Parts: sequence; structure tokens; C-alpha cells
Amino acid sequence: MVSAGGQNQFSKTEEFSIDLGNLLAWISGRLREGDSLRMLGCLLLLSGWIIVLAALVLLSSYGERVAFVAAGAAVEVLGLALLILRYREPKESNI
Amino acid sequence: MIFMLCLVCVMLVPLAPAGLSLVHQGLGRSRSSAHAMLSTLCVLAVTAIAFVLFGFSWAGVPGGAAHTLLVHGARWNWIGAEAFFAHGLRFDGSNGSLVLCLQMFTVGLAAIIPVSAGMDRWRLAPICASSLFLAAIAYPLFAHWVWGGGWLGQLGANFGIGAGFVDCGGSSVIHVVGGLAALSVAWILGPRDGKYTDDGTPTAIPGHNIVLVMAGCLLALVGWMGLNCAGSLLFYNLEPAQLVRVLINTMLSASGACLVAVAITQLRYGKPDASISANGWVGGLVAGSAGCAFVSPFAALLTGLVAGTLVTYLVEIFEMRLYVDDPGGAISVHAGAGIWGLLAVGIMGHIGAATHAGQLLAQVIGVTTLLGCMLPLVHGGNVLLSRVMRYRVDASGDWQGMDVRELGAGAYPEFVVHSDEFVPR
Repeated sequence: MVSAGGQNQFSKTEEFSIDLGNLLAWISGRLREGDSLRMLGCLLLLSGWIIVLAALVLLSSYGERVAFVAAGAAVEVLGLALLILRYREPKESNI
Repeated sequence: MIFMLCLVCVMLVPLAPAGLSLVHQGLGRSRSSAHAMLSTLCVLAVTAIAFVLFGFSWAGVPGGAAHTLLVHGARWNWIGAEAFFAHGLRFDGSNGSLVLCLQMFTVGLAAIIPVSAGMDRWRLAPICASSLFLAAIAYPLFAHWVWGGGWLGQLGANFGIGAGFVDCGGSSVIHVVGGLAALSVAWILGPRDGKYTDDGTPTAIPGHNIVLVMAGCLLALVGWMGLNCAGSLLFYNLEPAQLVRVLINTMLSASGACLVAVAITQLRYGKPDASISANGWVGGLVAGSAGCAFVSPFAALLTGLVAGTLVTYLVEIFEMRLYVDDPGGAISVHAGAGIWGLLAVGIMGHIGAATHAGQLLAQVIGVTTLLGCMLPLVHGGNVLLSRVMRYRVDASGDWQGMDVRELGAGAYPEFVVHSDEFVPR
């Protein structure tokens, strides 16, 4: 991890940058393990639901609501597919 | 009179979890059967305590206290605000006391569904912890939205969408929520040892007692009739005379689903498959619950026929394509058939002056809420719990069986399998 101030930084800043590096290493470790895609799947599910809620609040005509609810459902299907694939893959490699 | 009728219906409800537990236990291995039954008892105990102490406060009752938000002039009822520990609830025949009594059993019914998916490898302590989470947080939230006067049930009144999200017997509140929790548990636990060969081919691990499975189906029917009648009376103010329709629809839906499962397995495998047919029966009960008070008998039969077909194929897809090891078929039966049942209400239901298009939109919004909100919530909760406590039994426990591993003794100590019993004569 290279700190933004270059080499003329105080030691306190260097300590901070090292800690941040550890955090990033931990996060990247999580990313490699495929947790990020599972989390993305869950976030897509949640996003689809929020689109559906937004349709209820912001729109009034039946046709517009149907379109938004269909879009939200499509986003949820994407998220579910991602979750299913991520949970399916390790099983294939383990078996 | 209505109070007594409701009470009798509620008293029948415990037969539903009793029947389901027999179905689950029979479809598992004999070396884990005592563990499966004890898990069911523990789940029912944990959920009843958690729901009465905390869950009921958030689940609430129709017209009861609730936290609401005013958005764009519409009142969004998000969560119940009853007192904890059922404090202040009048036990004098009030609607609230009956709702509490009914949901004390239904929350247990929802929580034993994941036990089926985790059979033969899910440890007892995490089963109790997961059930506690379901009973205290996930179930009450969705139950309030549908049955407690929450925003989903009020979609018609607040937004003019059909008659609001409708679910008389708990297809969504109980079964889809439980089925999604089962999916989450099956994902986290992974398949049983020996379920898949090195090239990924699934191995058949047949249930150890199919007679118990069938007996469970019959018991479940009685429990379901009580559940559907109680739900229709308490949450949709059905006239007592209309209960006959509920009973007929419940039976027709289960019958159609079972017969179609028998027919499909006969056509595909040359002989009817008893376990899939039993799953079809339960799938028909699940699907028929949602609209049991609002559809015609023909529509209930059609709902059952589609549910039976869906369950038969979903079981295979989950096992063979998605590598989800679900010994009792809980995900297909409860989540799959449940979602179909909810949509069927929109397609075939007659609810007041609501149009089919409007009602279908309300039902779709309910289904998207289940997938978009409840699945991440339940899965996130289970993932966090699995980081705190080990969900799965260790490798030696897999072949030893959960009975000996966790309980110290087998369910059938005098039951000896002789190798020569399998020699062709």
C-alpha cells in the first residue's frame, strides 16, 4: 500500500497506511473466496425489492407500476441466479 | 360461536407440524431419525417461547398498535408495536388472543421446514439458534405485513392494487418463508457425504420409513384444514358457512397434486414413486392454502395439479442440476409450491370487486418481497450464525449418524440390518 503523500510522510501516516493495507488484504481475500459475488447476489435481490417499493410510492398508473414491478422482479431473478451459481460452483469442485 | 369455531380450528393446527415432522423423519436416514424428531420438538419449543415473548409484539394483530410511516400521503404500516411478553393482552375471547395462539403454532410450522433440508448433518444447537432468529425476527416481520394489518395486506386500501396481498392459510407467511430458510440452510451446510459421486452424479439416499411419511401426510391434512379455516376466519373475516368451501378446496388441491405426482412418476420411472407422491400431496396443501377461501373448487384442483407437477420436477432440478441436497424436498414443496399458490390466487381468485390483473399485481409484489427482502434477511442471519457456531456435524458424524453423534444412542437399537437380507433369492 502506497500512501498518498509519498515517502516524506510522518510515521503516524505510515502506520495508518499499513493498517489500511491489512484491511484491503482481508477484503481482497474475501473477494477471492467468492463471498463478494454472494453478497452481490443478495444486494441485487434487495435492489429489486426496492425498485418494486419505489414503483408503489412514485407511480400511480397501473401500466407504469406493472413495468417497474417487472423490472424489479427481473433484477431479483438476476440476484437469485447469481446466488445459485455461486453456491453451486464450490459444490462441483468439492465433490 | 365464532370464537369457539376459531378455537377448534386452532386446536387442530398442531397436527400440521406433527405430520410434517413425520414426513421429514421418514425421508431421512434411520441413523438420524431420533435426532430429527428431537430437533422438531426443540424447534417447536424455542419458537413458541420466542414468539410469545418477542415475536408477537412485532407481528401484531389487524387493527392493533403498529409503527407507521407517512410516504406520499399513504400510510405504510411496517411493524407491529404490541407490548412484549404478550403484556396487556386480554384472554377473554379477543381476536388478539386467538391470533397469538394460532401464530404460536404456525411459527413452529415455518421453523421445522429448514430442519428437513438440513437433515442428517445439521447440529441441534444451531438448529435452535436459527429457529430463534426465524421466530423472533423474520417470521413476525412478514406475518405483520400480511396478517397484522401491514403494508402488503393494505396494498388495496392504500394503493388501489387489487384487494391487497392475500394469503388465507399461510402459503407465504409460513411456507415460503420456511422454504427460503431451508434453501439458505442447504446452501450453508452443503450436501451429505456420499450424496454426489466424483463426477457429480447424485446418489439416491432413500427415506428409511415411507409408512411414516404417508401417515404424516394424513395427519398434515387435518392440521392444514384447521390452519386454513382459522386463517380465513381470523384474518379475512370469512363467514362460518364459507368454511365448507375452504375444506373442499384444501382436499381438492392436495388430491390433485398427489395424483399428478403419482402419474408423472409412473410415466417417467415405470412405477409410482411414494416419496415424491407424498411430497406432491404436501405441495398441494401448501399451494392451496393461499386462496382456499377465494377460489372455486375447480380452481383449487387446478392449483393442486400444477403444484404437483412443479414439485415433481423441482425436486429433481434442485438435486441434479443445482447440487442442493434437500433430503425432504422442503425447498420444492414449501417455497416452490408456495410461490405458485400465491400467484394462483391472482390468476384464479375472486376477491370482492378486485380485478384479476390488479390482484395478480398484488400477489407478484408479495412474491418479490419474499425473494427480495426475506431471502437476504434469512440467509444473512443464517450466514452470521454459522460464523458464530458450527452448523454442520464433522466428517465422522456424517457416517456415524446424528443419533449416536449428538444423542448418544440410535433411534432403533434393536433394529439390525443383516447383509443376507439383500441377497436375491
